[in-house]
Amino acid sequence: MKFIRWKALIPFLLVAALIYVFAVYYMDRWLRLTLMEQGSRINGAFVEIDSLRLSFLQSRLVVQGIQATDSEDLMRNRFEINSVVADLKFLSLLKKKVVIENATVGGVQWSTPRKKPGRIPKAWLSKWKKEEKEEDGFLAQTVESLKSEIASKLPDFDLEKLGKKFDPRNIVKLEELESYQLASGLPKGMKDFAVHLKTDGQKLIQEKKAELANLRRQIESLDPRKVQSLQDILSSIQRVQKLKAELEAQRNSVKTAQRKLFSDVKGKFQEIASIREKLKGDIEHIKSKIGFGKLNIDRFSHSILGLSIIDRYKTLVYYYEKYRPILVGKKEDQIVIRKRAKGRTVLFPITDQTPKFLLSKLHLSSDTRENKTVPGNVRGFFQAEAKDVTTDLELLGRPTQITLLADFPNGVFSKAELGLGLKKANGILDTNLNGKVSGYGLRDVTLGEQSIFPIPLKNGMADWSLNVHVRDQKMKAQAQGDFSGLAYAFAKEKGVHPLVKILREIMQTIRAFDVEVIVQGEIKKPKLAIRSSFDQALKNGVLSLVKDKVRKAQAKAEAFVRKEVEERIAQAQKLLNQKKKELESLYQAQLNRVQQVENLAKSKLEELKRKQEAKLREKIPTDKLKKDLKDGFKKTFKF
Amino acid sequence: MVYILGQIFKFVSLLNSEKGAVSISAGVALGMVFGFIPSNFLIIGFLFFVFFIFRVNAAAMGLSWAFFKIFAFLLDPVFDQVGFWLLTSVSELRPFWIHMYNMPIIPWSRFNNSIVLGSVVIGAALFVPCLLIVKYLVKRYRESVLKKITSSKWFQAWRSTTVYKLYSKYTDIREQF
Repeated sequence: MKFIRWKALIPFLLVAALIYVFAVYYMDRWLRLTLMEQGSRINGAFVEIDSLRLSFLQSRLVVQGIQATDSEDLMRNRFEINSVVADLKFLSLLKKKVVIENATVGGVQWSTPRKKPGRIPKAWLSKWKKEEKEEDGFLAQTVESLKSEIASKLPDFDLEKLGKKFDPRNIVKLEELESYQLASGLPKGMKDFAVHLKTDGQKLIQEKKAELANLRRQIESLDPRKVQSLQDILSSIQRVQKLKAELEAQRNSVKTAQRKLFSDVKGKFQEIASIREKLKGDIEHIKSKIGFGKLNIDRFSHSILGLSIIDRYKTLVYYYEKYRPILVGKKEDQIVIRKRAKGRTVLFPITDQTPKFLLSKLHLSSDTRENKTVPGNVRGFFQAEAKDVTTDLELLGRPTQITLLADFPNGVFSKAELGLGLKKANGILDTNLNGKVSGYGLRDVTLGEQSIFPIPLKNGMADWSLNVHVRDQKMKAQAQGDFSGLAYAFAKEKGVHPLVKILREIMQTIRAFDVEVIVQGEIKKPKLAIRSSFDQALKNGVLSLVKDKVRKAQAKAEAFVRKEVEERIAQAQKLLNQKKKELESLYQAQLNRVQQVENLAKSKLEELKRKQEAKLREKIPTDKLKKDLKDGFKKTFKF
Repeated sequence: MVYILGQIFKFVSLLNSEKGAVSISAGVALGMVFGFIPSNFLIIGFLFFVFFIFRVNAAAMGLSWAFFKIFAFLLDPVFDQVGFWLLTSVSELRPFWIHMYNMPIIPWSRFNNSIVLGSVVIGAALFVPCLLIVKYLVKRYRESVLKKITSSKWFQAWRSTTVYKLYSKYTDIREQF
């Protein structure tokens, strides 16, 4: 075996030992930098680690002083972790698997100030840019897509718009009210109608005046002295009769015109009456808009939170559908190909029951009770426990369990428990979420920087539990809450948001209620069922207050509309009455004139008759005519 | 640096001697494999083990490593294609890869990367041909080129110089120790 250098074995082992020592010494440094770099990449701002120590003998990883900068404020940390201690399974590391048997995360703080701005080193940025071009960049891409989608999909909580949504002045639009619209148009309409009455009436009177004058002329032209013969007499009589008929016709036409004008005025009165009818409908509309009526969960959430539960649900379904394939993962007999900066990596199925990543047990604690920089209701003592967190649930065969416990001495709730269970079998994901919250001190609930819903509690107890179960495409979500013996105390403040005022008054009337909300069925077409005494409480207690508010709002709106409408109607009526009187006197005068002309015509005719008869008597020899008639009779009847 | 220069001188003297043709050719072939494979501590460690155990000329290996490292960059697409084909297309090999993937330590070799596997396979396949070709070339060099050089006038003149005699004496003494 002259090709083998047996003497070289010892130097090789020595060199290997030196390399091992060197690697171990630099392993911590390399791991720390790798974690900082990858953490910064996910976080979008610098992630700092003070120290990291990986002990192969103890199989323990200790990380201290983790600071994750807030990407939107580089002088503030998103969170800060005092220490992370993880007990690793060394044998699994040999199989390139990360199995953490026990991990403790202690001293988590939120929103802490930084001494230096947490900018990402330029060298890392250019490196990532290069890598992103060459690699799939799966994690970075997922995080980026999530961020952009959240920014675009989720609606902003706009505090400014919140109150406006509940303000009756914004809920009821005056343009929607028909009576208001009609009443608003009344003054101009009445003005136009008055002008029309005046012009039409004057035109008619002018016409009739002219016609009457013509008739008068014709009547006056009837001169008895001009009558010469019987024929003249007969024609005169005919003319007089014709004039009389014409006069009658004129009289009738004046009456008809008067009736028409009066019916127009009557029509206007009816129009005004119909506005009054419409006003009733509009007031019902105001009531339906402002009033709560039946409990509409979506509108209620819109009114109170400025958000639609339906929208929230849709967003949830969207993300569930999008990330479900990732959660379900690959099938056992499938391989996954990932593009790398150099070549392609093929991930083969794992044959034993240990996944590539497994966190057997985690305990996390965070005390933010004294942290003044954290928004009010987030201050508290948090504890989280996680069991069997893994990348492949099916392989492990046990469900992942995450439990969050929180105590809020100054916050919204005194105690909160939230549990999440993830289980997968035959590629089907089974998700179970449950939670319980107890509250003694519901006070100073804040949203962002601005306090919108401060409801200090004197005493009371509130428990609720939430259970969401999703399996494949089917879900069942059940939320139960029991709020008993609630009593609130409010100080009267000036300049409080109107919505807050209303909410405070509502809360003061609620003493006890329970609620159960069940959503179940196909995830895209769920059925909603609400069983609640809250509904009753709302009806009995809340609605009494809300109704009062609503009544006031309604009365205000009603009074406003009524005032506006009635004023206009009264104006119109007054105008109409005035015009009616004017017209009546005008037509009366006109009728009198017609009467005068008629009387004149009659007297003229009588006079004409008398004179004609006298003349005829004078001209015809009556005695001789009698004698002739007598003689003629005797001759004729001589027997 | 002194060590590297020493190794190069050693390589030149060995090349010009009558022995060590296999050692030189093995060094070149191993250097080729070193050059092809992307840096991975497990595979490189194994190759170093081979280097330490077998009589391989270090200078030849070093020069060959540097030379083939440049070519490896150009050959990456070929390694990628071959490695990917072996990893995904040969169904008979699938159980073997799965077994390897689930073994301890082996996954750290990154054998499931197409370039790593391709370069290892191509390097291993070319090892013996490379060894034989280099051995033949060394033989040819010694028979023709070296003979011509040693019989040339200027080389004869160089051998008669005091510097060469001193160097020759130094190497003789060194070899004795």
